[in-house]
Amino acid sequence: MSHPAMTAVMGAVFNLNHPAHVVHWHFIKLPLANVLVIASMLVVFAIALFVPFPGAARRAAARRGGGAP
Amino acid sequence: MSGAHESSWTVKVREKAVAALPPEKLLPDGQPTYVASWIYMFGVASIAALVVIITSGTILALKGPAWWHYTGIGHFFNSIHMWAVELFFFAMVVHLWGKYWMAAWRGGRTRVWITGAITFLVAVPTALTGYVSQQNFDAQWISTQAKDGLNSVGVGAFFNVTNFGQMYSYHVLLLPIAVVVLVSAHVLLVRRHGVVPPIELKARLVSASAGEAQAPPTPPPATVGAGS
Amino acid sequence: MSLLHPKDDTKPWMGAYQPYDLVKEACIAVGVIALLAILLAVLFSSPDEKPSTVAQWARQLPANFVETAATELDGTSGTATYGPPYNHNGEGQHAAFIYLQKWLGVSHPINTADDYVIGPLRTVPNDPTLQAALAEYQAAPQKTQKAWGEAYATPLEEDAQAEEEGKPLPKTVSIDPHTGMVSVQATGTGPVPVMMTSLLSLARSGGLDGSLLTSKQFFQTDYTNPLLFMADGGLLDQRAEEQHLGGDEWGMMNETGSYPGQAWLWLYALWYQIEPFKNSENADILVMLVMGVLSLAFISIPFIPGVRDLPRKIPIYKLIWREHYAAPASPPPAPPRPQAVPDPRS
Repeated sequence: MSHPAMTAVMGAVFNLNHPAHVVHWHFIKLPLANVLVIASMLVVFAIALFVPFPGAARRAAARRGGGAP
Repeated sequence: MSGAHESSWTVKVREKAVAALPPEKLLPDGQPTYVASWIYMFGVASIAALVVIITSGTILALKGPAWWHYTGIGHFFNSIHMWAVELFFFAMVVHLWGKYWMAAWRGGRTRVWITGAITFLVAVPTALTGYVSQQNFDAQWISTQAKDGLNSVGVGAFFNVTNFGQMYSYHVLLLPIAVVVLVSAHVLLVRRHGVVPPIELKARLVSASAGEAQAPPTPPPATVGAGS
Repeated sequence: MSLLHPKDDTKPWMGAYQPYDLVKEACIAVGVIALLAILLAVLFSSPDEKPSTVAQWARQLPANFVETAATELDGTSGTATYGPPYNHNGEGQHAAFIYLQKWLGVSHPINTADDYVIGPLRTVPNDPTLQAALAEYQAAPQKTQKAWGEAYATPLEEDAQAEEEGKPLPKTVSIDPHTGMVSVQATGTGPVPVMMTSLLSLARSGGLDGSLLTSKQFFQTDYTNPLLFMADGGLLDQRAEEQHLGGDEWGMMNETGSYPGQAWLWLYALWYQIEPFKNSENADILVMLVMGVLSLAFISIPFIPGVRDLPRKIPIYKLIWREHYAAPASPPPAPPRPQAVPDPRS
């Protein structure tokens, strides 16, 4: 286990230096942190696909004007 | 000077480079109007993470591999380095998913896909060499386990994960150079070929070809494809 | 059209362009990612579990240390029988007729008896009993050495197995609670008990850590010897199990503590959880070959029929380019942009 002084030195807001909580699902056994990372990737991918990208008016104007700026 | 001009290697290289990537293609100030999704941000996010990795890694290298174990500021830079690596792989994977579902290898962009895929595959051992260079329990465990996989295919004969000196050299110099070279080739190819156009829907192709019959085709402008 | 070059109706873009500041975007991205990395570092820091030493191993698990040392001496340990790249005492793993481990040969020779036991013991000064035991061991024929080693190791192995299975421990192995020294009741062990007791003392003092590392030269960065010796024993395994780093728990993806690890190794870790890899003696080479093939396939996606066509069949692209599709189908042709390339000769 890590030296108690290390926690003070690191100064983290949240101390993650304890054995991981493991998520069991069929033959899959993953620590919660990895599950959250993978889940975040999927969520962020979905958000990137669905959330509108700013600048639609500028692009529409470019299309109407036609050609390179 | 003009006599030696035709045989000058310098002139040949320069002319080839400028022909492939004129300045307005290398650093364009416009991008096609179809670049209109947040998914395009993950390529530049990957590069940004790589910049943070290299910057924090440089500071760790300047102070030597033991520094982060016994100073708070050293540990802080190690933390930045570690989280930047997580962000790098995060962004790279989301970027890869986006590019796959766009079939971004179309239109002569096979090499863009290939360089990107190889970058990912080279980033994995770059991270591994970092993990086994930590000089802590994690490094002990990862190196004694990873050696079996590498030994089984004979790679362990010349790439010894339990040899800290070798692994540190690979991690700090050799593999980052490989990653930077691959990423540069990848980005320059995107600049050259432009961001891949949308997959055209059949209905749009039919109406477009009806419109095209009236006007003669004009060559495309200097490709100002941008975004990522 | 061919298998390798599919029909590709992608034409160069001849439509409209929007203004775009590439350098500003890159700077903003670096700023955002840097801030995010700093925020995560402030919130969660990073793990740094102190490394194990041979001295700690000898103090915390003395019976396990001595058992492992005995197997290093008689050549039955994991490292002793590993094969290339450490020695020729095994063929290593193979897949059908592919013996890559054997073919690449021994590049980092380790003789476990000499490097882990006899060599370090020779450096112990002022111990005539030990030096006599060493001389007796080295003068004996190999068959006798093996018999001594087995006689000494067997009670230790039985003790370890009984402890693992939760059965009553045989009384042949005892550990002095004050000195931490291990006593093994067995006959026909020759000079081995003296050697093992001395090695345990040397290890507990920290001398074995140094001896294993710097035996060949003063400046050393290769930790192979001490690491492989410790990996043959139980301390690293015990710590790894506490942290869920074992192979049967997708360990190669994991980090110590509750930190995220190498999630990108998910597919590599997956194969070890399923048959036929799970219980195979050649699991490592089989998994590496599968991952090698899949990696080549990943690089070659543009050439693989079916895989390269999936994006068209599952139209996620319609989400990405929905604004483009909603716009008029045939944008006016763009006027040619004047070529502003300077004359390189001026």
